[in-house]
Amino acid sequence: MTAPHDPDDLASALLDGLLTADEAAAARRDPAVVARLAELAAVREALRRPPAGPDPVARERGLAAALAAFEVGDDAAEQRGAGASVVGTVGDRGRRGRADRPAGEPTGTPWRPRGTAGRRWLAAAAVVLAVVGLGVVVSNWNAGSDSADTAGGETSTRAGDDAGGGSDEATAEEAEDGAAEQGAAPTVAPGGIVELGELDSSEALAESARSAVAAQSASPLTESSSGQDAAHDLGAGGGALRSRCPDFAGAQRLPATGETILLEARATLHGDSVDVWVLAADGTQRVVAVDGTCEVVVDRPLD
Amino acid sequence: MAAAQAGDRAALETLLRRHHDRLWALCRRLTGNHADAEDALQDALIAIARGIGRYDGRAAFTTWSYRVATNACLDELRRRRRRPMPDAPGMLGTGESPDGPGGALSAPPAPTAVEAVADRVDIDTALALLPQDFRAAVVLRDLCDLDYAEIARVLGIPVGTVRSRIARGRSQLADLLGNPTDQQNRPTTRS
Repeated sequence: MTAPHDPDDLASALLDGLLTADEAAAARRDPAVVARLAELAAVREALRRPPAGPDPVARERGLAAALAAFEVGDDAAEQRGAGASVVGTVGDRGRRGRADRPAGEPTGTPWRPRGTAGRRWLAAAAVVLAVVGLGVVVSNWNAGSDSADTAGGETSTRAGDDAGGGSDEATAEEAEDGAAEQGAAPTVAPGGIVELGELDSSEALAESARSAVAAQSASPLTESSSGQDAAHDLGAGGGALRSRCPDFAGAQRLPATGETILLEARATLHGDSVDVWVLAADGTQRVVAVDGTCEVVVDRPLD
Repeated sequence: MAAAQAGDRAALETLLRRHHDRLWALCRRLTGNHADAEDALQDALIAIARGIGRYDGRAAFTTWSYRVATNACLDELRRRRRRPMPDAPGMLGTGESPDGPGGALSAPPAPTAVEAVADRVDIDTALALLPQDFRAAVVLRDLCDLDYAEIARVLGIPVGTVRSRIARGRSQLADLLGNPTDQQNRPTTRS
């Protein structure tokens, strides 16, 4: 590599063995670089000290949830057959193990979601609400809280659940989760990423995406975005999709040549976080969802 | 690996247990507190379990699992940003544990908070003060031992950007951790 000139860059490169022998020798003659190298080495040592381990119960719960998801996934895949468009499966939702675990259920056993009957109906109702309320939600976002606005309507669906001790964080998280369980009216996160909430089918995802597109139809986001800009914002959500899945063939289709991105969104589908795009070309639209392993789990036309 | 991909539950369990601790360390360092790390890791383990059949071996399993875990952590951080959090500057002065109630290091602090850090801070506090993209690059390099090309693949950024983020991130960490040689007293570069 070409040796950098800044002492910090030189020291970092030296620490990682990126310099040639001559470059390294020259760098070591610079007292500023040598001093910085010692500091960076100390930082590395501090980082490598193992953090305190997880709670053993949480550890076992996480492993059990993963194994349960593995088994449920296999079963569900067999039931769906080869033609199914959704690869993800209904299974345990890991992060719910803390806030949503029903009272009295022993820890250490995989948490299973409550029945999903009615969620589709609720999702449809949320779509209607979303079209009307999206502007309100956007304005409320600036106030820094999406939980307080959605908490009011979720009490009945959460009756009987473990309230989780009543801490502020637990209350906020449950409000967020509760909103999701009602079908989650789309909200807009920083960077223009629309939150579609928790959905239990590709049909519900498509419906919610269609609604969100209608709500922001006046301003398509970009055309055939390269994803490069998003690569610099790891936290931006759907915009980071192409950058974080660069070598997966499925993601490379997004967007296809000539397609326009009408919507970037995120959703929870069958308990998995997914990035969602609505793409348009030649008068047709499709909705695409990609999961955390960079696999396309939904790719279907929007009617 | 092959057995797990073929549907062998016991093989998957062995695989997950073998990699659990290093994935935990990654999540713990990236999220900054126990509760979020537990959530992110559980999401990652589930994603790995569901995606193991699609893992194609082009990258090392370790790299692939780091990618999944990193994505899960970034998702968790996004969710965290949407939750009300204590004021970061006040938190910094309390000496509260990063594992304390509510996740003391939940919100990335404003630059003024960084400037306010006068004394030595622990590694979690220092990491929390780093920009998220710097933090991920440094943790993947110095904790996970990924090489620059692997980090580039995990984060989806060019190798040159990885190098830059690692150098800048390490430099900021060194300053925040209060190493004996501070910026003003450091030897100057020869011209």
